[in-house]
Parts: sequence; C-alpha cells; structure tokens
Amino acid sequence: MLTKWIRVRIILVACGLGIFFLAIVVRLIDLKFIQGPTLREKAQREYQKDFPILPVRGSIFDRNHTELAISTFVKSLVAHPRRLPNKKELSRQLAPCLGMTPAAVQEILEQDRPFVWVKRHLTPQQAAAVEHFKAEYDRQIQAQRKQAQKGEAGPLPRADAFYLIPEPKRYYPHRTLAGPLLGFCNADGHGAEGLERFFDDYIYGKPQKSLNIIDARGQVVLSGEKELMDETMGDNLVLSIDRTIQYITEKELQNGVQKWNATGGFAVVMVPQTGEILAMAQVPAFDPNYYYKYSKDFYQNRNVTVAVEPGSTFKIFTVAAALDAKVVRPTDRYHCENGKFAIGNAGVIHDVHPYGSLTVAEVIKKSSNIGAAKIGLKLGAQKMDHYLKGFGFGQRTGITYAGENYGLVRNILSNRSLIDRVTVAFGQGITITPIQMAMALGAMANNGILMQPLLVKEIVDHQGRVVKQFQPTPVRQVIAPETAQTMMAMMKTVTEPGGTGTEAVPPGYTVAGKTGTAQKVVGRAFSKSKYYSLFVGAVPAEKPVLAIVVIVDEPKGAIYGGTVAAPIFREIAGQAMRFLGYYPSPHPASPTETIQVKKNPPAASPAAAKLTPLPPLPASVVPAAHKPGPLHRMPDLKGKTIREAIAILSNAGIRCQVEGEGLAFDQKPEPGAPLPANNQCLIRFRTR
Amino acid sequence: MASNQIRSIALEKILAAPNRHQTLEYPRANLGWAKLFIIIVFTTVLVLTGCVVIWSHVQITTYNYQISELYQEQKELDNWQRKLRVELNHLQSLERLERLAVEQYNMAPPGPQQVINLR
Repeated sequence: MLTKWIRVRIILVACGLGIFFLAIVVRLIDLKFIQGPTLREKAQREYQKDFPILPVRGSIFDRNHTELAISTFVKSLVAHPRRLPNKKELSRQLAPCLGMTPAAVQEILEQDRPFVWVKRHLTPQQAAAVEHFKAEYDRQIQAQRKQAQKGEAGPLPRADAFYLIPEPKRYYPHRTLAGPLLGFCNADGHGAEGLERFFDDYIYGKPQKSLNIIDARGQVVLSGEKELMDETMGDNLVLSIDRTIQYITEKELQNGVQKWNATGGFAVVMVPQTGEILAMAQVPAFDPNYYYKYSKDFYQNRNVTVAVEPGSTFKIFTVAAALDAKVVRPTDRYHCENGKFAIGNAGVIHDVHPYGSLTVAEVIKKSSNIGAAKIGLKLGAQKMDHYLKGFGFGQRTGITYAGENYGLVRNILSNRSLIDRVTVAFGQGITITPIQMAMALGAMANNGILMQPLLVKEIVDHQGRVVKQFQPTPVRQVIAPETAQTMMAMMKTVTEPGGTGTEAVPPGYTVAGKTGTAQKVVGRAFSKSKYYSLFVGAVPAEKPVLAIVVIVDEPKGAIYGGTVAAPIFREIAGQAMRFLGYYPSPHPASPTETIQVKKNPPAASPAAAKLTPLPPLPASVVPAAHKPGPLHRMPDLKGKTIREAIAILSNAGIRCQVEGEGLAFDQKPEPGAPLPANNQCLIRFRTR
Repeated sequence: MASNQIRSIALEKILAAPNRHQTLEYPRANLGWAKLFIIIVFTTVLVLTGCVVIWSHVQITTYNYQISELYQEQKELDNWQRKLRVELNHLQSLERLERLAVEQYNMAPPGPQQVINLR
C-alpha cells in the first residue's frame, strides 16, 4: 500500500510538474508565435522612434573655393496654442527674449491652430534667452504638478506647449557680392531664386528619417543617423566666378552708375577661350541675407533675363560677318553721306558726326551708322541672318541659369521694311542680353570660336568627390580665325587716338573694343531722353585674356558709351588684369597703323557668293583647350557618344566593353568610383 | 545497482520501523569530491559566463549611449564650425577689408606707376 501511495504521489508530483511546464511551454508559444508579432510591434513602439534628419544644404564656392553661401542650423520657436492655458502672461514673459512686443507674441499665441511659428531663425542671443526662460518655466510646471497631486487641481500647463526646434538658415557672408546671381533660399531652406533655385535638387540634400532606439527617459541609446549622412548632405557648387573680380566689377559699376546718376548697370567679365564667367554684376543689386527687404524686381539676374538694344557695339558683328563672307575688305571705302543717308522712302539714317569717305576699319573706329548700314546692305539679309544666328543672337546661350531671355532678333529674311533690315546693321531694332553680347564678343576674341557660357564648373559632394563636371564647350566656329584677328585689330583702333573709346584703355594695356549708345524703347517708341551707354571690349587686344561688357542704364549728363561706359571698363579691366597677374607694360604695343588685308580676295558680289554653312570647329581646338587631366576616378560618361567615351577612357588606359549604340546611359563602375583594377569597364549605350 | 541497493535499504528500514510515525534515517548519497568539484566549476563557469554576457550587454549599451552623445556633440561642433566659417568669410569679405583699409588705415589703391613687378 505504502509503495503504491508513494508511487501515486510521485506520479502526482510528476503530473503537476508536467502540467506546470506544459503551461509554461504553451505560454511561451502563445507569447512567441500567437501574440508575438503584436507584442513585438508594441515593444518597438516603446523603444524605437523615427527621428527626422534635416538636410544640410551644400555650400556655393567661387572658383578659388571661397564660400559665397553657407548653411547652418539656427533655432526657431514653435508653440501649440491649444496646450497653453495662460497666453497673456506667457506672451509678456516671452516677448523680451524674442525682441518682440507682448501684443505681437500674444496675437500669434491666440491663434486657434494646433501649431504656430512664434518666431523663426532666432539669433544665438535670443535662442539662449528662450532656453533659459524655458528651463525656468519647466521647473514651475513641475512644482505645479506636485501641488496638483496633493489635491490643488487647476488647469495645468504642459511642458511641450512651446519649444525650440533647429532650422536651416542660409548665410551669404559676402553680403551683396554676386547676390542676384546666387539668388536666395526661402525660410524652409529651398532655393527660391538664382543659382540656389536652379541647382536646388543638387544642393538641398534629402530629408531622411532615422530609426533610433530610445530608453525610458526618451534618451537616444542607438542612432542610425550617421549612416544616412551621405544622403542628407547636399552637394556643393563650384562656380567659375572669381570673388575678387566680381568685387572689382561690382564696385566699379556702382561707382560709374553713381557718377552718372544712372538708373542701373550691367557688367560681365569672361574668359574668351573657355567661356568661363569670372564676374556678372548688376546695379542695383540686393543682399540675399535680407531678400525680404527688397522688391521682386531686384531678384532677377538681369545680365541673363533682360535684353537691351546693343547700339553701335553691334557694328563689330555686322562688319565681322561682311569680312568673313568676303563681301568687303578692311580697306574698302564707303561714303558716309556727310551724316545723313536717305534710304529711298523708307527713312533717313543719321551719324552723330558727319563723315565723308571712310574705310571699313574707320567705320568701326568712328562708329558711323551710315557706313555700317551700307556694309549691312552689301552683306545682304540672308548672310546677315546666317551670321546673327552664328553668333548666337536670338537663341539660348546654354548658360546654367533659369529664365534666360533669348533677345529679340527679327526675321530679316521675311521683314519687308527696308529700314528695319538696315538698322539692324548698327544695332537698332534688335535686342540681346548682356550674356549673349559677352559670348559673341568672346567668339571674336577667341579666333572666331563661340563658347558656351560656363558659370558652374563642378558639383562636388560633401566629401569632395566630383558629382558633375561642366567642361568648356565650344559651340561653333562663327568666323574664320583670320577674320577674328582682323576684327580685333580694327577694334583696337577704336581705343586709339581718334577713336570713340580712348577712355577705355587702362594704362599699360591695349584694348580692342567698341562703344555704343542705344535709345531705350519706352512704350512702343524710342525715347529721346533715355539711353543705354555701352562698351564691349577685350584686353589685351593682341592676345585677349578677358572679354568685358559694360552697360549703363539711363545715365544723366552724358550718354555716349565712350564717355560713360568706357571708364568703367577701364577700371574693371586694369584691376582685373593686375589681379590675374598680367602686369601693365611700360611700353604697350604701338598703335595700329593699317589693317592688313588678307590675301584671299573678296567675292565679286554678295549675290554671287554662295552661302556656306558655318565652318565646323577645327579639330585642333578642342583637345588643345580642353585636354583632360589624368583620371583618378571613373568619369561620368552618361550622354556621351561611343567615340567620346572611348577617347576619355583611353587617356586613362582603360579598356571599355561597349553595349548598344547611341548615347551612354549606364556604366560600370559607376561615376566617381575608383578606376577598375583590371582596367576594364562596361558602358551601355542606347538611342533616344 | 547503487539505486537498487538504496531502495532495498529504505524498504528494510520502513518495514523494520515500529510505527509509521517513527523518524527514518535515510542514507546520504555519497557524491564524491570529484563530482562536487565538477558541479562547482560548472556552476562557476555558468555564472561567470552570465556575468560576461550581462557585462558585455551593459558595455554595449553604455558605448551606444556614448556614441549617441558624441554624435550629437559632433553635430553641434559641425554646426559651430559652419557658423565660424560664416564669420571668417564675413571678416575676410573684400568690401569690409577695403573699408577698413581706407577708413581706418588711410590706405589707397596704388597708381600704375607705383606698382613694381619684381619678376
């Protein structure tokens, strides 16, 4: 019996234990597999939290990597008005910290909205004052809560009713320097105007969310933020602008505008051989740090968005076209009708000074409208149209900037008005932008090769890796190199004694340029009191380093380009050349005596001359000007032809496997990756 | 064998007992020093392993806290550096330098004849 009882007890205990362990196992299965996902989710909600990561906007650098625009984080004060019990008292206490009136703060806090910005972008002092006040406020809340727990209930304020949050803020430390060109960012950190807007996709960065593990007090235990750094950091822009030359240009333009009590002015400084824009200035300008203080008229970069009549400066293009088409020679003479030339019944053209017979070179030097009109007539509408397009007038220049104005170039071929067709020859009835003028002038100074304007040199990421590179791009050979050299020699005479632009020459340098004065169009007619004064030129005349365009809007007291714009040109050119290391020569080149006539005789008559397409770019130009350096990383080949891609890679000794045809759209290794160890890569091409 | 022996001794004692309320003396199992030593070592290793695991987890958590704090500090320093760059660029702005040179130090740009190129 006893044995049996013991056995029964043992069995009972075993059963009990078995049931106990079974219950545990069942509970484990329940927790793990049945309630598991729900519980896991619940737990994750407790210890995991999404934290927004604000993007860091990339900087904008000049060509020497001086920062022109930088972003930092500053504090902004936000509030949830519905959580605030005593708004009046809080407004009174907060107002001195924010530098606002209590009424203004109260007005914001009284709004019936779940969330309000009390004040954005606080100064460091204001942020510190608010932080100090908030700490004190939180202590008072704690005390009130303790009292409430003892039974003294009342409307309790909440600690999260107002607080500081970080926000990006854009700074332009050089203030107005290149302001209209750079543009500005809005309060949310997005580019709103200028380059800031055009390249916003690159420099804004990407807002991300980081899944952080937090403890019971809400402190971050483990953060995944660092892994997202590459994506949140915006890329940096490297411009072709040189801040010193930009400063010189802005300063001298401002001085000139002030001197002549003008409405405004424009100036562009560029390198003719590469199309790089070293300075782009305008008056009036604005400070992008305080963009909200200016009207919208100030925001646009008028060197790109405003087209003006070029006036007599346009004669150089008419004469260049006539010389290149071999319609005239520099020594051909034209009678300038003693200052008054009637074109049948169409109208009468006047010269400022009466001239008799002038050579083509003298037409440029003396700036004769009648001489230019006669050359234009001899050139013919068809060729004129051909060369206008060749120089890029009436078309986009391809500058990386939004809102470019194409200018107004009438269709000379279909225009029935003879006077309209003739006046184009000396720059009336046509409008062009300062940037178009600079590029066309650059073509003249670059042996006839028109370059695409280069404003942004490269985009680099936050670690300095090149994301995108902009190379100098030749557009076309507009005129023959010999014609360009002849034109430069003619334009040099303009700045020599007897010419209209003698004021444009900085001491110790030579300048090839052209003056211009254009009536402004007011309503639908030419104004008799409002003018543009222009000077365009290249320095030094023999081997141009800089091509500069200066336009003064509505000068008072004097109107001629040689008087108003040429001195501004002189100051900009002299200082910029010295800064670039081209020092003035004590004995600059001797004055031009005669313009050499090229051996090729001109065509017999314009009608007989067959219009040929603009000559292709000489093969020697591209590699000489844009020879790539040794490659260290994979270049971005997207958009390149097979021939171009192979040429680039073969320079680095890389063999590429080609798939498809057309333009490259994919490559392995990716752009910016280290060069492949086996010196082989794959490029896929496709047709559009 | 040993268990059968223990069981038979127990039964004998139960059968030999004068009544059921009499206290029985059970023989103690002789585990031996070797077995005891193994158990102690095993337990110690188990406890130590547990301690190491817990310690490593505590260390990981501590380091995670430190990493988070340092990353925040890095971000703040980074932002501070950006602010200093703004200040530096502002102080180096050509407009300011020229104004200082002209107004404070009575300097003026050199004339062309005053510049001597030493190359």
